[in-house]
Amino acid sequence: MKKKVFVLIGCALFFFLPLIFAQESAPAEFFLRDTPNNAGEQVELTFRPLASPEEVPEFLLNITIGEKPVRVRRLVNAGKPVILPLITHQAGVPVKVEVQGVLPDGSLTDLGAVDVVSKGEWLNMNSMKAFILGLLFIGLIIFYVGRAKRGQDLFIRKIPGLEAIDDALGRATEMGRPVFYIPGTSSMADVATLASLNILRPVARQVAKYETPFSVPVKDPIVVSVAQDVVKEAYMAAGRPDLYEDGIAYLASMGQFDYSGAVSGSMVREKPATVFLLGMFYAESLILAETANSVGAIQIAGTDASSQLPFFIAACDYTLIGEELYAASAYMSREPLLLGTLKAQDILKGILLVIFVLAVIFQLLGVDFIMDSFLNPQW
Amino acid sequence: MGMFIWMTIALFLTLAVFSFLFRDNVVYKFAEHLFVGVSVGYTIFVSYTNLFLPRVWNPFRRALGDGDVLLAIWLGLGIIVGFLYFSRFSQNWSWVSRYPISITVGYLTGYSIIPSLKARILSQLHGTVVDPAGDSLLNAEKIGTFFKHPTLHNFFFEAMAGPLLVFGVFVVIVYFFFSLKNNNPVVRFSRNPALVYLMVAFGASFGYTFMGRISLFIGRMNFIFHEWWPIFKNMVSG
Repeated sequence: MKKKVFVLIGCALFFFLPLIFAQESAPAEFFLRDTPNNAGEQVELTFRPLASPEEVPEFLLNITIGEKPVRVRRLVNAGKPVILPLITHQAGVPVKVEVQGVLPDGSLTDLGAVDVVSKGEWLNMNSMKAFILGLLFIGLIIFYVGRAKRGQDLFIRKIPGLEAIDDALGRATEMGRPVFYIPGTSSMADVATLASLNILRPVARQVAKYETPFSVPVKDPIVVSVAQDVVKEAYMAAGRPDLYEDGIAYLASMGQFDYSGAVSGSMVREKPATVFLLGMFYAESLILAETANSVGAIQIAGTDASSQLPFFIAACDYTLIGEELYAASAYMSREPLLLGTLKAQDILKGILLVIFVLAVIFQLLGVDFIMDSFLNPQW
Repeated sequence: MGMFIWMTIALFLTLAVFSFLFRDNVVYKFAEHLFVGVSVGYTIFVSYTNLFLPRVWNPFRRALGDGDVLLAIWLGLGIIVGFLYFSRFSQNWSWVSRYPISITVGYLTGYSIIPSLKARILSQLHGTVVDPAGDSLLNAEKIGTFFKHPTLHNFFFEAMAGPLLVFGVFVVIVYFFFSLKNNNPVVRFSRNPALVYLMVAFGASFGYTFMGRISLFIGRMNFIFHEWWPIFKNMVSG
């Protein structure tokens, strides 16, 4: 009996307590928080309208960021939650948002205010997974570079385009015509440019040995400096510093199409027998490749720009596709640093491929563990 | 009249560049040299006014004026390192220019490691396992859709799109393994399918870009026949 009474009281409380404590619900709920994983340059307002658009058609947000004057922002009530980023530019800036609802008759009703002070974090946890992957990669590079330096043979398979380099240079020498080397049209920030400059060294060494005229037209001023040093060292390594002059690597122009116009003009006038197009290219790729083709030059091209590869494949004799460009620099120079990097890259690719296959299988079985743990870029 | 003169110069330069299609000639050489000269001059001016003045010199002077010594030293260091590039003009001191180059290359390479890993590896692999809605690309339901409604569209865009993408990514990644010998069975198995995938992708990209180039050509023809020609005709007819 006693038990039944307790059950009845429990049921009554369950049904009536919410009614007792029920309040008239606010037209909207909102909160302001510091955006995590940044240097404090942003906070965000999460705004969720609870009233229907008929009851409250829109809201007014009076936003105060630091010392700046109040900014009024009108938010149409679409019935959906909104996350509004507010830029503070630096940490320690107080942000206050006062919210008013605009009723159908045009009158305003205060809904309250929220405030927060922006703060920065030392670590961006969103990049942590990539950071760990980067550390793993660097560790692999150090390991394999060490092995290469100790003289262990690191195998790299043959890359067809590279076998043709010697023949192409020999042809230019026999014909008495120059060799053109175009190290892409990007800056030193591009990995393809770095790879291209690594290939430039052995090419320049061969050219110096054969005493073939050589020309390296460049688009970026910093790349010019590096290309001049690379060519100079190569000529010295070949024992022909007397043939070197600063004008071999020169700044043709700094714009995209004027550069391609200038290089095309040079090609038509000097009629090179061999043209290397190795590096990062954009829309000028076909102009350069087609002009080289029209003067009868053998062309060896390579880029990691997937949008430009089709043009090189169509217009050039040999094309290094994507990563083959990076592999080519290691294959030709046989430098331990590059060989070790390439080997580490292959190992990392293998690890990622295994994770990828496992993720696909687990995803088929409805298990998200591999995806969330390894492949989701967010932490 | 002023506008017509500028438009006529633009027409002349357009035709001068197109004349290269016939063969190298003096008119093309003129256009080429003009283009290079104007472009380099413009880039230098823009670098000075849009980069050096607002990003370096003005903040440096402002920092000195405000007494913000730390910022002034920081910016001053940047200016000094930047000026080291000019050492290339000297035979004896040109080696000094390697310092700013190494700082630039080191900074840019290091800075791009994490964003590259996130955007080019993790996000790409993530997008190969699941679609933007979060469903697995090897989705049995989508394959079932094809068997319920066996149309060509359902075959390519529902049933096979995911499996083709997953398989393609796998074989193309294997194609770019350089440590495996060419007669390795995995490499041998994946080479031809990988080449087919690559060539299909390159063919599509070629066609797409070709259409873009055609539209650029149409743009120049529109300028000649729909903008310059009517004005010219009006002027001639008085």
